[in-house]
Amino acid sequence: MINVTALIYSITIPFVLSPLILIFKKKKIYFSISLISLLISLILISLNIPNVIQGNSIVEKYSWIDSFDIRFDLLLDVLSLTLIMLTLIVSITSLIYSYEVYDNKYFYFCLVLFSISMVGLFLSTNFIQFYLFWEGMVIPSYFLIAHWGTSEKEKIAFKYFIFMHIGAFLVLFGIVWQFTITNSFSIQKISLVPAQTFHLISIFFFLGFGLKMATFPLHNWLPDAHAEAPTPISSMLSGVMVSCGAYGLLRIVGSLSSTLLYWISLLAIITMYYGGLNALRNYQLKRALAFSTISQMGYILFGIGVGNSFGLSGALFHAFNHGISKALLFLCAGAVIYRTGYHDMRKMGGLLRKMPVTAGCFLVGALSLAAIPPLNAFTSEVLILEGAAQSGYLLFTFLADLMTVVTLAYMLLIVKRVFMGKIPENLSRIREAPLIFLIPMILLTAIIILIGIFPNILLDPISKMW
Amino acid sequence: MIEILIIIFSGIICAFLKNKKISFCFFSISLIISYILLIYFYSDQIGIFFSTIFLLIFEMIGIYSFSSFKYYHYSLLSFAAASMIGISFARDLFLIYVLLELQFIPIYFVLALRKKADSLEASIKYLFMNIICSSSILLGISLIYAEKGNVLIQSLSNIHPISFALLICGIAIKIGIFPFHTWVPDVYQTSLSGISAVFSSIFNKIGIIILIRIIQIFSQIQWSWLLILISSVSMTYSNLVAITQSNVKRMLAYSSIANMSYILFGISTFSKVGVFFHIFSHSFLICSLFMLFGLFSSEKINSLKGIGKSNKVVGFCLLVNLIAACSIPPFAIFFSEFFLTLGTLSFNLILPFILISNFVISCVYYINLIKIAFLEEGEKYTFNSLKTIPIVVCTIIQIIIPFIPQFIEFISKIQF
Repeated sequence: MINVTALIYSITIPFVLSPLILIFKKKKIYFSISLISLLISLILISLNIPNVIQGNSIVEKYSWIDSFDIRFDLLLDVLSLTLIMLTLIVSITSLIYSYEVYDNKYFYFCLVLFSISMVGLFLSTNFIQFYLFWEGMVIPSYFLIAHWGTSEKEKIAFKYFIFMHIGAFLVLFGIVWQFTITNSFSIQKISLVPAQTFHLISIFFFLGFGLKMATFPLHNWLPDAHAEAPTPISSMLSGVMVSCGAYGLLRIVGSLSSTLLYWISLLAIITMYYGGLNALRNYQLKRALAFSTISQMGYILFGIGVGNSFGLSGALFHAFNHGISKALLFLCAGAVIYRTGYHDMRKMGGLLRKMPVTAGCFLVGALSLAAIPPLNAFTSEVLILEGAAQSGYLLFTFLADLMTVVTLAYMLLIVKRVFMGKIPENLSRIREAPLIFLIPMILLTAIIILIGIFPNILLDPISKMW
Repeated sequence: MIEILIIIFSGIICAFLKNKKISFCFFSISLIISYILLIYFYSDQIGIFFSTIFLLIFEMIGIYSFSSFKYYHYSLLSFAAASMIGISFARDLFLIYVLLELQFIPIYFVLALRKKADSLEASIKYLFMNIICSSSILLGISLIYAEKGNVLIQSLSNIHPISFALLICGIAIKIGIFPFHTWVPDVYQTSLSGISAVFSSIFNKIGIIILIRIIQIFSQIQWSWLLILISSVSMTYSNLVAITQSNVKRMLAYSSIANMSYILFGISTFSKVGVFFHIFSHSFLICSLFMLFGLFSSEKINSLKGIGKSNKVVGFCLLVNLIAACSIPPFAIFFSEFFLTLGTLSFNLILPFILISNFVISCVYYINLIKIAFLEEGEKYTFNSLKTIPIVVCTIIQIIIPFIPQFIEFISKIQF
């Protein structure tokens, strides 16, 4: 008997449906196919929620190349569930948002492939399968940036591709090395590697995953790629894709040595400040938000570096919260740019009266990232700081705490530059963003407020994970 | 031997009949008959593995080049095919030498008969390099004979370093790696696309077969470090030079040199699965890339703008092949490079870095091609549908091979 709720269908059905997008010529048809394929994935995953939040993990086994222990097993536990829900929520909202602007079916095809690869990544249990989806993300996003991006899009996409590829090969090197010791590609069996050797192997894993997370010395690709990508894709890149690196680290965090964790925390603090201070001085709207992503990745990395259960739960929770908030911020910024036609914040101002809904949503997202209490990221940042204090990283805790002030500063600065003050002459006839833009924004705002008031919806299952 | 004679005989008949269609039929049918006989009578796994690749590629090139080949092309390729299938089963160095001559002389005529100035120049280069190759292999074989009293491959242990060095020089010219690569870009650039595809995908694998046959020597003499050095220099050099090329066939030629260096690297570090897998996947990848770029009138990279948008089937194949060439899963070339890295890692911990950094460098020029072919606007092309069939077959082989576990199990059982 075929089990309809099987996890494998949540990847294969959208994957099989996606070529249909290319067949039809009518925009409504191919748009609805892409929407339906993502919704099917969302529904299939959601059917497993009641089982997973009780602390069970669902495993499905499929064989591939058994003689080299390359398998296609799927695993759904709280860690993967949280990030899959984030991926699908952000993807679906970005997809709806795209309807107004993008008339090319290849755009929707790439978008569906991009988000399905991320869902597959979060379900993987085998390193080869993991690597398959890890690279599977890069190609569609390369085309999305290179074809529909802004300014020097091809150069930036090339840089993005090469950086991602270097990161992937660093991860691959770690994977291959651990295989020579454990004779297995299973992610769980990585704990069998002797600590002495894993010390060295984990450096490669960290470099690869850290590159995806834009950790300080490896951050160079992010501001360009996220600022110049098309807006819905920016929200997917900034909201979800950077968290893939965090996911990889969270899977292997049990085996990381305390020295490496200390260095990770140090780098996390530097990353936080680097991103935050750059966001403060940047006048390009989307670029400032991209630097804010770097800064927030610093928080997630700090939670991982703390290494205790508070820190790890906080990191995972913050990955979710940041994903939702940053997706919302990018969508709002996209709406502003769509109406005004400017990327530069110095040419904007006073849009609050002209675009009140957009401004309200943006303010909610901005305050959420600045850890203002009734909103979602407050809980996760408190968790991370508490974990840090418990581990005895008092100086780092103080610095991270101070960073929330900087976050609030740059967020309010952006709000002030875009929405407050006097309206420039040429923008005086501007209207509110179209309805199709507002629906996803309001949806995300609702999620932010809901999670902010009832954090236990997510926090209870997450706290059982570690 | 009857299998080889069938192909040679059909080649001679083709030469006298002077009819392209009949030549093509003779060429393809004789190849298939001799392949079936080989499978039936021999159980040598290396031989079967290589002859399968040779048969598939020859058949596909036969179909692809039907419009551009003359009758004598099929006749000459028959001789080459006979010799290559012979080499993949040969167990005697002298037989290998004779078959090598049988391979390179007809191919010299294939190059020279194009009658263009640069083609003639390339054919002269090819001739001289191959004469050096043949004579150095012959000298090596003679020294081995003087030392041992026979030239069977089984008895190759403890041979004199000079005879081994001579053999390696000859093989390196055949493969076309760094210090001996000078003929490769010229020949690949100036010959017909079909011939370039055969050259890059299988003619250079002959040297690999001989090297695999004599691999037992490495364990006795400390030769592997020399080969590792040569191949690392070769792959880095050719990948870097490939970035600067403005002619797409020349770029693919340098990429092919780099890939042959990966295989040589794998052989010298004894990563068995990686070597055989890479031989397989690289053959089909480079073959389909040459066939694809042969479809367009221009060879300059800058004039290939928007070629991926002309036709859906060709565009899909081009995209798959270029993505695969950037070693991105799930295509065959990723798995072969992965197994190469895996095998190399069990030999030494530092060496895989050389491989991995080269994989990244090679992405630079392939991603540039993706950009030009798919993201820019250019003129529309129409294609001969006969030419697209072999391209589609090559592409499908690359897509499905990683999902056939039996194939990888077969490869992992092959012994050097």
